[in-house]
Amino acid sequence: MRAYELMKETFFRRTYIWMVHVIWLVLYGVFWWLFLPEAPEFGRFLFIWAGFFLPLALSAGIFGDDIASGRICVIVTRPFWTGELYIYRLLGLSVQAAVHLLLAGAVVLILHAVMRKGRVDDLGVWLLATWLLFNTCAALSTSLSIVVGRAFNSLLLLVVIVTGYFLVGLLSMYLRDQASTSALASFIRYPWPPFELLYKFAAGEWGQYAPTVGKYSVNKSIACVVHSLMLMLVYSIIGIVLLGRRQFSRVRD
Amino acid sequence: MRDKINARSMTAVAGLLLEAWALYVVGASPHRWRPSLIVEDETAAHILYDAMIRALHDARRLSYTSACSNPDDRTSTYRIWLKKPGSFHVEQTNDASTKSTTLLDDGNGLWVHWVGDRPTLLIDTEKSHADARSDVYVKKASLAAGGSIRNEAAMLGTALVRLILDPSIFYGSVNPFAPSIDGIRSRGTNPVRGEVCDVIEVSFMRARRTWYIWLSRQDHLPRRFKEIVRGADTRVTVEEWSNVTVNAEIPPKLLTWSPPEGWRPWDPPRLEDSLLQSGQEAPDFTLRSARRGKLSLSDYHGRVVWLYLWDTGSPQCRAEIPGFQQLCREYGDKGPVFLGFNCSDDKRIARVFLRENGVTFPSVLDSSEAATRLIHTGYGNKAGILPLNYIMDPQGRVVDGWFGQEQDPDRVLAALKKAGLELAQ
Amino acid sequence: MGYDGDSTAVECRQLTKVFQRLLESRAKAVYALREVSLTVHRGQIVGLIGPNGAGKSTLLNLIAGLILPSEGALTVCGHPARSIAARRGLGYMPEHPVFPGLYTARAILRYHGALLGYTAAVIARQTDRSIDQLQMQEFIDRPASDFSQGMKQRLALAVALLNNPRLLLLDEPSNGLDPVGIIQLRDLLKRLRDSGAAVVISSHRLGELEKLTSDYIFMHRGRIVSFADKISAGQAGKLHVELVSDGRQVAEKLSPPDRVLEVSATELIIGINDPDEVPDIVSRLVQGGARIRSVLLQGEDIEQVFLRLCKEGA
Repeated sequence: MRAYELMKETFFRRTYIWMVHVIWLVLYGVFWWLFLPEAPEFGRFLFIWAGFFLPLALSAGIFGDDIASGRICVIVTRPFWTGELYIYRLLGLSVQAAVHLLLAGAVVLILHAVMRKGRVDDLGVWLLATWLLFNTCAALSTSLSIVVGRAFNSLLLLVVIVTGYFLVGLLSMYLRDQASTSALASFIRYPWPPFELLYKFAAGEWGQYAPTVGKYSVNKSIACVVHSLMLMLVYSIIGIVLLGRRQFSRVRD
Repeated sequence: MRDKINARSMTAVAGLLLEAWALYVVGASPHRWRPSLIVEDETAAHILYDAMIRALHDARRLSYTSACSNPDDRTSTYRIWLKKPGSFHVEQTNDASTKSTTLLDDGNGLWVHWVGDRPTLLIDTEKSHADARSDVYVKKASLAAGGSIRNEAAMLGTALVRLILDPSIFYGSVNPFAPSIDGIRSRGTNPVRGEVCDVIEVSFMRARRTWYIWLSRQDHLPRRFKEIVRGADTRVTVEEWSNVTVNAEIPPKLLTWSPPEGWRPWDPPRLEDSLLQSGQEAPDFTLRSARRGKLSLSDYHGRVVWLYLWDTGSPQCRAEIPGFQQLCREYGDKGPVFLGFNCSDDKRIARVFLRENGVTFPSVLDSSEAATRLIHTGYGNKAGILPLNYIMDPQGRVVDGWFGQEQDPDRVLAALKKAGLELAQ
Repeated sequence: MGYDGDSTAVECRQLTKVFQRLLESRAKAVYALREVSLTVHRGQIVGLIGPNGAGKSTLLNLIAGLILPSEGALTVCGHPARSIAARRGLGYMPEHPVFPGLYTARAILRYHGALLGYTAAVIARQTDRSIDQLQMQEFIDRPASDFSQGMKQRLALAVALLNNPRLLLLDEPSNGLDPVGIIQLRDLLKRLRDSGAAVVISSHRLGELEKLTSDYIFMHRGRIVSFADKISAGQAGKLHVELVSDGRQVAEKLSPPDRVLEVSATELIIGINDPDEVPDIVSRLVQGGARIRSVLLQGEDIEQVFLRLCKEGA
């Protein structure tokens, strides 16, 4: 029951959570209806909007709000390992994402049936890649929420990720062969949320040009999935340790 | 408690091993993954490839539209009409641009002209463009005797993305990479615009270049190409064929052209004209060496230098380098210093190639912006054609420079002699 | 749920808590608690009082396991503070309870019951008990966004009592409660005490605290100034000695002289800290030649004690 209540709480903790889901789904429908190009863009659009922006919206203040309001103080005096608090809340986000993506998939299929445009045969792998990215970003955001007040965890993550990619792009353009550039690029590729790897996993190594040929090999696909799950685990462990060691009093009395 | 710690430790170790494996697999090292990309030959796939070549050779007439694109969202479109024995018409445009280039060979000569003002071409200098900007055309020898439509289109056209398959194969010319095929294998079937196609994968030069070809079951002709070139960067190009018609009549007006009143012929600059000329000082450089550390041209002042620009993607370079090593061994200090220069290969791939061929002469191995710019601008190789040779005298001045497609031993000996080296042939 | 071994609910030994921000020097750190030692037994209701900054909330938070001590030892219900075993017997009610707006009171109790690991049947039973005990019928199925302060307090108390705690920590429990509510709370606490639970209450509302308990811990600037077992409010404070002889002469002989608060011809008023001092003082007065007509021990009320101790502390 504890697991169920903690997972359910991620949906009901704020009045706007259900609105986020509805707005996102409407956004997909409107975008695809209005802007669907010849090349299949369903997967890419979902990948960024549901894989990156959605976890930021859903996990905003997931711990920060409780800590700021003091509600966490009653929760952590209950006799259970605080790690469960983290794990089940993250699981709640993950389940929400899974349902959300299934609905998004349904929207895509309906639009495809009505408009007869675009391609849906790779939709499944895009949904999987998006869900994996969601989980990783949600874990990172949730862990940040433990140390950053209120809903600033999402804002911080957005700024840091955008800045990181911008820096790498800039350095790659002007200082491509410097050791620091390749070090930063490796950092962005591996310990960072795996945008590039999961994108390649879903799109194939050379993207839109081949739906089946040139797709990631089985080995690489499995490795991508394993790596993203490991990243999620590492971010989660960091969050669980932070939560376990955190002290919950702003009052210096 | 101990059991709990043991279980946790084991889980942590297992997790670390799994992650290490995952990182090893996804690690982006072209060198490590190159062997797995080298295709082994499959008979059935080879038969499909041969059927494509045969279909091209057997057709009397062929027309198609080719849309070439790359991940930078650039697209160049070619409308192509081919008629044997040697006529063709190629119209080339980019995206929504109004600029177009027409190449037309009526069997007697190759005519090239442009819509509107002539755009700046790869081979242009400021002067050559200013002098021949509008109402000009090029007349060259017909390609019927041998030549490459693809290369002519690249040099005289405005295309942002080059053709993958050279239409000259229709006339019987051989794909220059064909001798370097590692193998051909089948990749199943996949529809292209509703047409069922067999997909084959062809790798060349130990997977330095890979083609994926979608072959229509109707006429064995391609409907899509995807080319991946693995150098310092990975470059991908896709060529989509549409409106493919075989042996249909081609309107005669498409295969004849004469210049309008008032137009004048233009003699385009030769690629060699942009190379450094005899007597010019070769730009010095200090760049990364294949042997670690850096390498400067000025280190070799006092000796005759044979600068050789190469990469592993050029079949000719691959064939010539062992020859250079042989010469290096034979002549030793009595001969010129052979100095390689590679700015387009992945370092590890290039090092492996040099090691496998027992190369001992020094070579620059540097794919930085600076190195690329030096070759394009400093050494005049605007089109990036390889191999490129320069002979320099002991004072660092250029004696001669030429593209390597035609290695003329007499020219080489004459240049070396002029530089101060008398070698027995 | 019970104590393991002994009857102490809370035991602190030389407990110190220092709040020091990152990169802040030790000189600027705030010593919220300094070497506090105390014991709260089962069946005790103890009030923590002190001015702002005394360390009451810090002490409560330490016992609840919300923060960790900088130095010293702390056990709760026989187990180290913050451990799961300690939390098993703990009920905590914060000063400003917050509940998610979409949840009803029933859902909130179900949520906390689930955190406690209860089954649905047990939660339902505990919920019904809470409704009866705390008069929650009116708002049990309303969303928390509609709650008044009093409703939130009742709900917070219900949440704290959900696991029949052996140690109940209450921070400003009477906030928002009407007089009836306060009486009900007092009765509830007494029942808890009688059942063997210990209760620690932190409050600024001295008048209301008086209604809830008669044992106090006075804190000032991070230290315990006085314990409830040394002073019972209302029982100690001033000793009125009515004399037959002249009080002034007697007062001069009394040591220490500043214990004499007032002197008149017929009366001496002496300040005392401990009721046990009374026989000794009377004995010295008599030895000093005083002829005593009557002795009256007048207790300070909690406010007077509080103000006096604050003044002494300052």
